[in-house]
Amino acid sequence: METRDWSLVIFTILTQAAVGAFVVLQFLDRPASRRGRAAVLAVLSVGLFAALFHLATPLEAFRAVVNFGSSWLSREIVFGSLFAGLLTALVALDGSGRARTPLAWLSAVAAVAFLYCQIQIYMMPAQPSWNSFATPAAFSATALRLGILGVAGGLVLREPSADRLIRGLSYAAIFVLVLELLIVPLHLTSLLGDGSRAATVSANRLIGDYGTVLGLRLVLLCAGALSLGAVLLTKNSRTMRTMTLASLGVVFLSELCGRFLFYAAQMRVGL
Amino acid sequence: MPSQNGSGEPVGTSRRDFLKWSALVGGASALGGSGLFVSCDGSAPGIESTVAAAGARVVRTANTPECLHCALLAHVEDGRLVKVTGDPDFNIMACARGISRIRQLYSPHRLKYPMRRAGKRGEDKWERISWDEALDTIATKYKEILDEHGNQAFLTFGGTGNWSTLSTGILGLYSSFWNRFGGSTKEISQLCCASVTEGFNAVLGGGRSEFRDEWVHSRYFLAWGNNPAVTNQGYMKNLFQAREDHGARLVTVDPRLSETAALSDRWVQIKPGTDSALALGMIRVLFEEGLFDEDYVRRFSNASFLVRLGDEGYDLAELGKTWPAGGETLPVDLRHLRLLRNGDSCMVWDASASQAVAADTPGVRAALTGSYEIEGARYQPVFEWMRAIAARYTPSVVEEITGVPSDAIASMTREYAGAKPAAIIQNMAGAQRTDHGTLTVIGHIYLAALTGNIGVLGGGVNDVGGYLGQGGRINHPVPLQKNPPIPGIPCTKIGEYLVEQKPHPIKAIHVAGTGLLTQYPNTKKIIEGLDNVDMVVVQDIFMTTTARYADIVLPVTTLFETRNLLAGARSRYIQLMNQAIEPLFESRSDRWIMTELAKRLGFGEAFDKTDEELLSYALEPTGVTLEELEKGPVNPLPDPWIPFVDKKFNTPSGRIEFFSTYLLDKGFDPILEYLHPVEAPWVDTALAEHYPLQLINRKNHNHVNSSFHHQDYLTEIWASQVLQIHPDDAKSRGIEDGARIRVFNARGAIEAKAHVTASIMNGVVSVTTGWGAVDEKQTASILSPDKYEPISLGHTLNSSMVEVARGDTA
Amino acid sequence: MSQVAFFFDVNRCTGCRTCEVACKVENEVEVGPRWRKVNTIEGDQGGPFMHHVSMACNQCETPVCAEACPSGAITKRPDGIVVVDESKCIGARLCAWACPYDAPQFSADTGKMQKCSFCYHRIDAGVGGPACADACPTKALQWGTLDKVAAKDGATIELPVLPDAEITRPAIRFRPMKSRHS
Repeated sequence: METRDWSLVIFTILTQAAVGAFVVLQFLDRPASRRGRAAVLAVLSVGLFAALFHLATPLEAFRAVVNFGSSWLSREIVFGSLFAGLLTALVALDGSGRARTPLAWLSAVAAVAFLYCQIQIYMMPAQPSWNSFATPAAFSATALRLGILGVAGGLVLREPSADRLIRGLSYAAIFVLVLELLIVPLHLTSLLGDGSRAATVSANRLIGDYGTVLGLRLVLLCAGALSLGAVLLTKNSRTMRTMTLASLGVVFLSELCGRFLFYAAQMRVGL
Repeated sequence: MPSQNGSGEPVGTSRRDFLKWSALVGGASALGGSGLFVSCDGSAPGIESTVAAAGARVVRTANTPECLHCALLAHVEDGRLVKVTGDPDFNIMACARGISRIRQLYSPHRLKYPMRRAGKRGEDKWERISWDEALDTIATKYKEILDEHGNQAFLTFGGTGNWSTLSTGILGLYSSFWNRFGGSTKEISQLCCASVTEGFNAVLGGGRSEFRDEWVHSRYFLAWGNNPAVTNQGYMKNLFQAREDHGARLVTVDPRLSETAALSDRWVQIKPGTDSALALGMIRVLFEEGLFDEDYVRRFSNASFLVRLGDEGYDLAELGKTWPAGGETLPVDLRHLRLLRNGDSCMVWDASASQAVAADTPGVRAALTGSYEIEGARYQPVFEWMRAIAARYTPSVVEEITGVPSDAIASMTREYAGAKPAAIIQNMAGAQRTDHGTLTVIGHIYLAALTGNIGVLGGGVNDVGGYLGQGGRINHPVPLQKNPPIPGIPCTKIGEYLVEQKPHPIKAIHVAGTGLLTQYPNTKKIIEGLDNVDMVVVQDIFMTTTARYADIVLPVTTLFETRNLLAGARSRYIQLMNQAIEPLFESRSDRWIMTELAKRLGFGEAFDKTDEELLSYALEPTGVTLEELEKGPVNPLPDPWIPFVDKKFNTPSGRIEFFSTYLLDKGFDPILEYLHPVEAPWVDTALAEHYPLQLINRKNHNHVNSSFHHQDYLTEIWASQVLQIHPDDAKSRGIEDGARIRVFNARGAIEAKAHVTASIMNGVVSVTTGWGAVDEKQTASILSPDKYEPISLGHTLNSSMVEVARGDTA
Repeated sequence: MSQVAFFFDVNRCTGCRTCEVACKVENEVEVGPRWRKVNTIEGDQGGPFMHHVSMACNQCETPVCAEACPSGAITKRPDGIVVVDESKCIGARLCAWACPYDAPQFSADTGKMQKCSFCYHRIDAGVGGPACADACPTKALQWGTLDKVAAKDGATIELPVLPDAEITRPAIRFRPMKSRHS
């Protein structure tokens, strides 16, 4: 994996977290969402900024939207910028935090379109480790996991009396976590069964060269599930809140591992 | 970042710039009617097509090392060399090596100015000096040594790195220089081709025999112990054409799956050093199955000549049956064989007259077989001895010795004998750089002669090529004078003799265009021997390993920076090498250096002539003029070229000498019999306890011996010395593919990367010869044995034993 | 009008890499990016085998690199040559990811993509074709129009070691290695 790919690790994780968190906020439809949206905008901005470092000439990044007609990257940038713009307008103009406004809906559509384009970039026949169900599943799951836990974390920090909501979110988060524990082995099996040299090399990288990272990822996911379990089981409000933040931290680390593997294990078909 | 031009020199605008900015220009290109799609049918565009832009001057030159001597086109714009290509009008196209020469100009390894050693030899510490100082220093010291020790104290090397008339190599100005100096100690024999030379001398009376342009007519190619896909790659298109036109088959005999073997119809894996055993096995099949050309053998060889063993002769018919299997010592000494003569004539048996007659008696049908009492002694035709010797090489015996499966031998022989014309591609094979390499070559010649393939279009034994080898002649550019003879040093013994100061002390070594420390065997010994030498002068283009051990280095021009003549040593073409650009830095041509030195040493007059005068003089015997050569390369030989077409050989009998009087006179067996190598695991079992693996040396596409190692376009593809090793041998040593390893024996150790592959025989490993011109620690010659082949005094680097281990500290 | 194409006869390739070096010399490519690469494939199939495949940019009929490039720096000319306009390249490297043949090369110095240009500068000037094909000593590598190239004896678009040709429909045809070693 090249050094520049780290910027993509940060970019995809943060922007997916932003998309997920915004959609969760839409779903919850609470007045406090105003502050949440501002936080989402901050995270989105950092993520978008990180992406610039993937380019060799970041100062010419404006060129990247030119090929909207066929390039998923162009489309991703357009929708990402649209999402950022609409969200900025939302935060600036709508102090209500209400979800069912046209502007909010538009932002949500832009966000989902942004995520869809991100996924499509990697559906390249030349890259068997990316070109499978695993990419949409993993990207969407990241968005949901970090979105849900991000909002839960925000609630912990900002709303002293949202315990029930936090617990509800934790239920949802566990579900998405467990899903990931299924995706990883399914992806590996499909790579090994593919038969092509590239797929086999990718699989071997995941198990071999980066086996420690893969192991760490799974351990962190399990730790996240455990700490979320603690959130659900404990009666103590302070413990619950602490464990929620811990879960967010642990899951975020596991995302870093996972996304690192995504880029590190890629292998082109052919010679 | 300014772009760089093809020579690596930074420029403002270049063709790369043109490409970058003009991507969208000319979208509708002139495709349709311009006749550009000539390559579809395989024909090549003409010289005009290699011109990149109007205004570029195209200068003709040629590639000088000991390779195929391809024509090169140097494209010059505003005095800058911008591109180097092959010449599509030449008979073959230049390869990656030749065209990468453009990267020599500004290579970081390039010698830019004369330098004097400022530390210990090999330490690579230098101080810059002027040409005057360099030449004066050398001349003064040489005069001193000459006065005190004489001409013999000078050991001189003028190799094939810059092989051209006004430079080094045989028949070059460098040789004229040392001759006019009064002579010097030189190497005896050659590293490359001593055994093949002697093989041809022994059986055919000498000469080189190449017919690569005529390969298109061959029906069968037997690449034996050599790799034409690498060392004759320009001519491979002829082989492929023969394949496509009339289904010619390619069979390769090689311990490893070489590039040629990989393209072959059949690959025969053989233990290094056992080639003549396989040849004898095939010869046995030719005899047993009557597949030899009896009429040809009778008419053009001395197989019918009567011989007797010792004074009374030998009952070969009876006693021959008791002979031991092949590979075991014969109970008779073949050197006691004597031809029956009558005056100058050798005698044969005339069955119809029941008597021995002179071989050249008109109308005689000489017997090839039988046993005859003549004046109380028992005689047989040479043929009977050949048959008796070969009869011991049954398939199972051959398999035991060579590793070639017994069922392959007969089929291989039938194929070879059944497809005429058949070419054995020998080309200074690695298989003749073995302990009995001359016998390897004699085996090839026997096979070709027995099947009537010598002197036919597209048939025979294809040795290395060139106008000079096919009977052409050129002069030294400065004529030679007669000097008292000076004993030389066998080429493999440089190190040993320097250390022991044999045959006399050497006080000065002068090296030009030669990889003394990368080609000559037992490198560490040579370096040790340098301690006894007062002055080492190296003239070269690059800071090679050899140059690093010099006291003074002199920077030489690349071939683009000087004018020269390449007179067909390895090509049929005589080529004028025109100067493309002015010399860079302070480099000077070999020609200038030798002239300046000659002047300082008092014999400069003969050298102080114009290039035209020197070149014209050199060209005199060729019948080709400089004017003709200005227009392009000239091939003075007839077309097609058929070596030995008149079936006349320069042997004492005028015939193919299966019974070699040449060898007999030198004290060797006159008829081919296999001898085991000396340094081989099944022979030297004590040595094999320490160094059990047989080492062979291969060539790759990125070099010619130690040349071409200094160009970055090549080193980015071929980056390291690579040892090929069989998976079983690797596994037992814990070596993984790609691992760094040590290869070592009693002579030293080198570093390499391991390539674990089933394409090399179990028990055999392969390194690249010549590697290490940049990195001493990867130099294969460190491992090479300095024994010489007994007949030819040639190189035996492929009869060598090593061990391999993990780790990279050499 | 048919587009340009390469033709590669595996049976004639000795692995000499003259094509690689000729390309670098012609196009003054810096050390690092390799516009053309010769890959040596070794294996064991009833005995060891080895052959070579020389590959540059296959000027694909459906160039996925051009589709993926966000800045539209890659376009396909009417004669089929896929060209990169370095002035528009921002170094996103999507082309390198998308190409099944590893044609796009990134320069560490400039950060721009560069690749085999089919020597369109020679074609436009009417002086010849790709330098690699012109330099090949055995005529293993040739070029022409796709219809002529596809019509050559034994020509096929698929080669066992290469990716599925349907991904991009490369404008190259092969004569695969004849099985030998009887």
